[in-house]
Amino acid sequence: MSGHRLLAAALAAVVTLGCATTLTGCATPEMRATEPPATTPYPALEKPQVERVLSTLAEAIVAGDEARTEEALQARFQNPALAMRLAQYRLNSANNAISVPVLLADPASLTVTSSTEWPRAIIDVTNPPDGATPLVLVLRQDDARSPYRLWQWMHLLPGQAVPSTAAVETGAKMLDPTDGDGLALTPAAARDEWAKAITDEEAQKAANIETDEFLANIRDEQYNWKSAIGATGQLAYSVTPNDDLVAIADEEGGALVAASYVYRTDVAINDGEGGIQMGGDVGTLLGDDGRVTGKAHWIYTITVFLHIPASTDKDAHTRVIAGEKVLTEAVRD
Amino acid sequence: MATILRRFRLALIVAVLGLVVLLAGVASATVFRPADIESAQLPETTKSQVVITRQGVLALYPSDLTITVAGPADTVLAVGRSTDVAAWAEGMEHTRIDGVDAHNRFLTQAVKGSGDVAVMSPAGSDMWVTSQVITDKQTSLRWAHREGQWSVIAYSPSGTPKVTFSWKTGYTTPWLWPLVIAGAVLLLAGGLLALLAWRNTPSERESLAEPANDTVSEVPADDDHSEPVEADAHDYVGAYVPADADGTWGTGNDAGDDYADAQYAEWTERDRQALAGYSEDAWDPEVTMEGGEDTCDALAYAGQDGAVDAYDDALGYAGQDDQGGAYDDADLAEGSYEQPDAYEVDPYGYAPAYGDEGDHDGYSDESYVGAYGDTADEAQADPYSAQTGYDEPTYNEGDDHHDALDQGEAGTGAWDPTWEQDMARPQTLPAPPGPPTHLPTRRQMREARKRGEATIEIEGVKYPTGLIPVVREQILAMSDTDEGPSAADFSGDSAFDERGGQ
Repeated sequence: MSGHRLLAAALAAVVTLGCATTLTGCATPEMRATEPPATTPYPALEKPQVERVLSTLAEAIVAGDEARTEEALQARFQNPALAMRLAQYRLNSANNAISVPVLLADPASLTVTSSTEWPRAIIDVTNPPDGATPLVLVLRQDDARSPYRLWQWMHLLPGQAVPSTAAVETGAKMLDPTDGDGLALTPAAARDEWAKAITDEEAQKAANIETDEFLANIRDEQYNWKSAIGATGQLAYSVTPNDDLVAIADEEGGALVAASYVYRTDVAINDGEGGIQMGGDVGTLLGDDGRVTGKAHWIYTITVFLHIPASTDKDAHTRVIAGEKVLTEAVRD
Repeated sequence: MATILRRFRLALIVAVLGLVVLLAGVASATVFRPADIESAQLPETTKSQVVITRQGVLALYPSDLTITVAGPADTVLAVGRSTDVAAWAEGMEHTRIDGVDAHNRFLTQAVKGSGDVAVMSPAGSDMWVTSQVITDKQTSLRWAHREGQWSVIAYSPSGTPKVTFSWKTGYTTPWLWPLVIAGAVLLLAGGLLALLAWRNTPSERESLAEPANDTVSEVPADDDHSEPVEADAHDYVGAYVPADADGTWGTGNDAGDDYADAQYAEWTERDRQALAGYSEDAWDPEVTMEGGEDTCDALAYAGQDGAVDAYDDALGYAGQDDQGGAYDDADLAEGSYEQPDAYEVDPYGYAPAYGDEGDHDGYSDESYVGAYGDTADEAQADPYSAQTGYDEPTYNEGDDHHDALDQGEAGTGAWDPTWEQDMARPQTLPAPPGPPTHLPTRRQMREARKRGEATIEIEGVKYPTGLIPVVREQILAMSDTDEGPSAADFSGDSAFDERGGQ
């Protein structure tokens, strides 16, 4: 091959090479995402996010404890927790003997709900120092644009433990209130039956609700008051469940339900009677030494953490494993 | 220059090819390299303060995507679950990125707000896995693929957040190193070939030492011929040694030189003049010969030992057919030798030499066969038997000159030391017959050298051509046969390489 032809061949090779390498980089097709939105549930938050939320909650608690104003709390508190906390501040302000319980957020066990819908919840079982009673905190995100706020908190009842729930990485399934699949009771029914059980023992038996300490405490209280008032006045009470509840599945086939109640007691002093004097937090909140000469009512906000066993578990009972009762209102009518 | 190019042709081709390949390799990694990093941008028409990506858009890109947003302070860039992002932006006026077109512009869909939702910053939301707020013109974050559907949300307090995706295209340069190495190897090969080609040339040049045609031993036109003679530019090895100390033409053999000088001195003035007619500058520069060629070399030899005799013999043969054994009878019989119809009297009064084909080209007839014949083999075989062929004792004795030469008695090609002794003997010589009718011209000598002949024979007279002799035995040693080597055996720095035409 002569020199010229050789050179021409080499140049052709170089040009081809250059074109090939350039053209392979030129092709960029149009890309469009077209799949419909996924419906696979996912954990609401990842662990770092949960920890971030809890730390801001802790900050809010501290700020609230100091300021004792709604503004300080409202970033991370919502009713009923907000009302309860504020009431605790109020009581404490009125009566130093009534202390404000310490709220801590350090988690011993964490659960987040797994779903594609709202509301979503974080359940935080705290790790209290020095043998104090553990707390169960339930934070709730009502919709996409809301933050996670402390919605309920409850002290764990003596001798009780929260059943194991899914880890944060997996997320616990959020149950529909009316979905009782595999459960002894639907979450809504469990909530309602517990309220009924306070006054109606037969209903309690029928619902297979265990008499937990909380339940017993309410009965006792009413009994005591009734006894104390006696013939002076009339006492009536009611425990009315709130609609809002959070139910999650636990790892043992049961369910954990966070619900709240309005526990109202009405008292009416009979005509001609002198009156009664309420003590404790009611008397503090009523003021004026707690004297009632006419009508009055007081309202406790109750938050409970119910455990519903699996329907297959015959020995287990539905019971409250954690609860909180805070006097939120006491008014003379 | 052209010869240099020709000589290094192969080396040049290989080197140029190597250079081209090497440059191609470098070009593939630089000039022709596709872009390393590509980026996609929002079209200029985007207006919303909130820009989100549709579920699946992030998954279209390679992992390790860099998402950048530019805008005023408090511009937010965040990534969260696609469902979360979509739910957050629902009801709000925003732009949704659905994909990217061929020019790396995002395909977008402007979504109108429902009216009751105000645009707000997503900065405080708990839902984003990663979130950044601009403090200085722009911020970016890197996103690696992970399980689930993820989306980007960007917000600007005023104007549109300029969202850009950048990713590495992953183009490699696989051609770079192979081509560079191949090019370097070819360049090296080209260099080696050039080196080999260069090495071949010098000795080749030496072996074909061309005599400088311009410097010629000048023969002063005086009788005693004793003036110094300038040596030839090239030394003729062997018999052809520049003039010796006494200024006469010499062969390095003083005794022989003297003899030749003596012979020369006997030449008549007539002879000298006749000889002068053959040369333009050796005898009489003003006398030009037919063809104007310089035969002074030949004439130089004429003065040498044996050359005088050769001349004598040649002169004696002028006009005669087959005196002596110079011409084979057989040749005459064959008719290969053409006897001229009439002796063409040349202007200088000398009949053409035997075997002259009438063209006066100075080449002897084909029929001349001898030790100094035209055939290459014979010349190679016995290049320097010419030397002894010069010494004419065989001529004078009337021997069959041809036979004597054929038998190689004349010598082995090397300088025969006995020759000197021969020449030292006084010999009876006939009267110088007159200048030879045909002396070898310069061209003849040159061409004879090219053919590898050490001597050229004209009219039965051998004249040395000036070729460096190669010893016969050495040649034989190089070949497998007694006949001597073939041309193929010779290459490179040999007297008989391609330059010599063998």
